[in-house]
Amino acid sequence: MKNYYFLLICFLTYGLNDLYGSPSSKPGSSIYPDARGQVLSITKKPQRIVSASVASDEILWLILEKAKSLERLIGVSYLADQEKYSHISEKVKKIPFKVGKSLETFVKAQPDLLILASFNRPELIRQIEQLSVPVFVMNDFSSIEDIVKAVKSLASLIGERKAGELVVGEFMQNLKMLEDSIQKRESPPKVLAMVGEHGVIGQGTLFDSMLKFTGAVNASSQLSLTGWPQLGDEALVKLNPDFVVFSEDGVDTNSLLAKFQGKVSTRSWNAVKRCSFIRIPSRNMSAASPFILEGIQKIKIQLEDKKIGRACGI
Amino acid sequence: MAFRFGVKDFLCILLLVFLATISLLWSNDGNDFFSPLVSSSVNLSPLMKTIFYEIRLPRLLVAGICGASLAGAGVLSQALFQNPLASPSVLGISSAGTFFACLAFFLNWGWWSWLVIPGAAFVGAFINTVVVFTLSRHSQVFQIDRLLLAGLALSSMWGAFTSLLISLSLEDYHKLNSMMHWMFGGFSGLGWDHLKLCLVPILLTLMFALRLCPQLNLLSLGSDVATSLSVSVPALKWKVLVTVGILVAVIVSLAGMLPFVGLLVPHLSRLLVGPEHKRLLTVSLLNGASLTIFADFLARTVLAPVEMDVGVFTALMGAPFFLAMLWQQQRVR
Repeated sequence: MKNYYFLLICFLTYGLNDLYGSPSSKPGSSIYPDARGQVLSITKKPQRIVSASVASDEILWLILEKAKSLERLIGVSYLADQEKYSHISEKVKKIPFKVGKSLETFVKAQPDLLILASFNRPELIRQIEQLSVPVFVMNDFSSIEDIVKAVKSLASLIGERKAGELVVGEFMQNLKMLEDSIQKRESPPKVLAMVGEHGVIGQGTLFDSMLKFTGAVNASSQLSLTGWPQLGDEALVKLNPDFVVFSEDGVDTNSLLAKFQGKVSTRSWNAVKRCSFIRIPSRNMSAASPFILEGIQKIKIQLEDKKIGRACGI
Repeated sequence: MAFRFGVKDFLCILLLVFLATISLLWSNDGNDFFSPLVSSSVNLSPLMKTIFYEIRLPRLLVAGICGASLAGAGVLSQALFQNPLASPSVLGISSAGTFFACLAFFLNWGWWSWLVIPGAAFVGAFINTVVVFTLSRHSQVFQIDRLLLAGLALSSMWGAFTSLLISLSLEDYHKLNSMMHWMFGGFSGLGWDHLKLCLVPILLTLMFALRLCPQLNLLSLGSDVATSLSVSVPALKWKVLVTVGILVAVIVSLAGMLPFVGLLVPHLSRLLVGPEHKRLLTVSLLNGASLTIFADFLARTVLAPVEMDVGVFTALMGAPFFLAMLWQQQRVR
């Protein structure tokens, strides 16, 4: 129900923005402050845009694709062409500049707008600003709403508000369709997303928001865990999830299962007894763009897959 | 030379029993283990029984054994280098163990079996011990300065390799998470299997270490005096090095890095009972166990249910103690 309210609010704000716009929404300005609390205004429509995080790479790609001006995105992060981390790995292969953490890679691209992430070092941001390059520092994402905000803000900043609205509209529509298609259950399944053997993904994270749209509850919420905490065996044994979500990288499901079956803290879990492991690619677990839909869809499909949970032969 | 059991020794035992009891029975999530202990009408649920007997009890025992061994290795290292500021870490054994454990995480081998990570760390620690020993011999003579230099150089090298692995894993949060928590040390995930694995080698090594104590007392008077009293100093140093190597290798393979335990506990114990090695070693074993059990208790409970790394607390307790000692020495002068 909460999700419906959220979708309604998003649709309303989307509509109102269309009618009135916001005071600072003139082309070339961010409609929301960046991670430093600054609202960036640039006079000319940027033509050489460089992005330094996968989230902003993906968002900018979607906006500029809609605006049919992808040539303006001249640089993306060095992880953007890696399938493990990026949803646009194949598409960005031809983009000339891949930027990393060093100043040189940014300078070589000669950008007229640089989108950085909050994890970039402050001294790097300062150095770039001293070169008179406008810098927008992306905020951290902790909910679907943050993705919507980021799309709107970046679209406004690069002077493509209409394209941004199209991206948001499509995203919200698909999200609603996904939510409408959730199978009704007597009680929602308890799902635990794990990082390593003791790390779990708690509330207030994008992944937690994803789970809400799959009709599942985050098992870590019963201990009111937030962020990405590390748990001891005593806390883990109490969680008893029905499904465990793990990234697809590195280890096969059988090895994972054997490991969990051998541990006191996990062997009594419903998920382990029924072999209910959901595997999704890393890029889906860490998505912070409208591509998050891909992960939601994969989790939803596996939650509803009758075969999952019978792999143990129970 | 047999030592007389004194009040201070008794107090150390009492402290260990007290901390172990608190650590075993205390829960800050509303489920306490005290009530079933004092009242037969209160029974533990199956879940709580699992937590008590299969998670908490073996973890407490492993923590105690690791702390005791590390403190014992500290006493032996200080005797070997004849320097109270020496610790097992100067030999590079824990750095090597950490690198090999991180390598196993990096290659995703950790999922194969619960033995892989401890095994990798043990192999690394063993390789380091052999290399240190080989490099510290010059013209068939065991040289302590070469041992120290080789240990420091190897420690830096393993540290650099570990940093390299971390740099290569920065984007992979699964690997990075596992590596970082291993490096910070802790007892999470350790159970009866790990206890069985470490108990025999550690007990045998500690018994052997106790037998070396009379000779270490003579060595503390100087190599020349020890030699004149018919102690084979090179053989003794070799035995001490191997003993420290085994102890640290076993500990690092189970718990990762536990900073300051091998340095802090022998110091503290020396202040309590003096420099006689048998007594010093025995009291250090007790205090080492107390320190790690207490650090583990804090790691489990301070932010419960979120678990912190034990190494954080051993360092937090160790560093101020050393600063206080330096301060006190300055005032005495």
